[in-house]
Amino acid sequence: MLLPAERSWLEPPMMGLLGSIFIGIGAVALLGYLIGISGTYAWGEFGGMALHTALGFMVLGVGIIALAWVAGTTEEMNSPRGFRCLSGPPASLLRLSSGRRFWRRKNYKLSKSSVLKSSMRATVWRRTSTGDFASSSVARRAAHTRNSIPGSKPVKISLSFSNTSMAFIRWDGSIPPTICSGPYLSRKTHRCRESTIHAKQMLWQRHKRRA
Amino acid sequence: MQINTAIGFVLSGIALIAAARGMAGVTLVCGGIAGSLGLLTLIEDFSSFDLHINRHLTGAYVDSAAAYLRRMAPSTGICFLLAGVAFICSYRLSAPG
Repeated sequence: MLLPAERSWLEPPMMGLLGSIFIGIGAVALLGYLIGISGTYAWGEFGGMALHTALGFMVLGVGIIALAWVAGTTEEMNSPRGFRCLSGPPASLLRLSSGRRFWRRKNYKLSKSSVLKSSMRATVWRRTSTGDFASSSVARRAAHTRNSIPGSKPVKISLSFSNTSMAFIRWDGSIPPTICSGPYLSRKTHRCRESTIHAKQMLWQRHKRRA
Repeated sequence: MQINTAIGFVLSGIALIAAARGMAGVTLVCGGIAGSLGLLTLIEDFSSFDLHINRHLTGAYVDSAAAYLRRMAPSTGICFLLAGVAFICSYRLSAPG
């Protein structure tokens, strides 16, 4: 029709970003009504956003994020699954707080795989540039985050190569459920199956070398 | 809530439902109108132009100040503009081909 319908993997995250902006603007206005700060919903001499308008934008933002989530899961999009929700304010805060040191390490190319296990979407990060499957600082931080949540199931770490490095892949190549709440960006993304096969091969080679 | 805001919400809702159902054309039209509504309101707010878009449906007001008050807030206009962009992205995702 009017616009070229060229699909891009960047569009679902962009929609998610816009949806989270709606939620943010609506939440700020709603908070302003609740605590009595008019500057959050009325800018200067202009009229203010109504209370139900703020609520409406929050609902609209949730709908657009859901739409982006669904659009990002289609096979043909081939988009990194993490990008579906990268733009939420919590993810942005986490990225700002914990990702700075990570980006300085040039040799880190993270591959991300997602599995659905025990009714929970598990996300696993690991380093693939050198073939060393010691988990990155992102994964360690995610493990600490996960383990620090009261009542949550602790992250299973079944294999360790050294005192300081950990691997999130079991010996048989399966991936234990892990929630990664670290920086939700990946420079290099592989499909789950490819990563798992590659991981198994590298683990087997390492085992043979050690033996 | 002003009438233009209500119209924008109705159009955005239609566009959202149409996007979920894969009706790309409806998404583009409704989302485009909602985004245009926000863009025109922002143009009115930040310039001296009066495009009379807040008076087309409800008629002219006697008091010009009241007409100004009937305009949606700039933050609302920004949100509708961004909603239009999001629905255009959604159109590109759901359009055939």
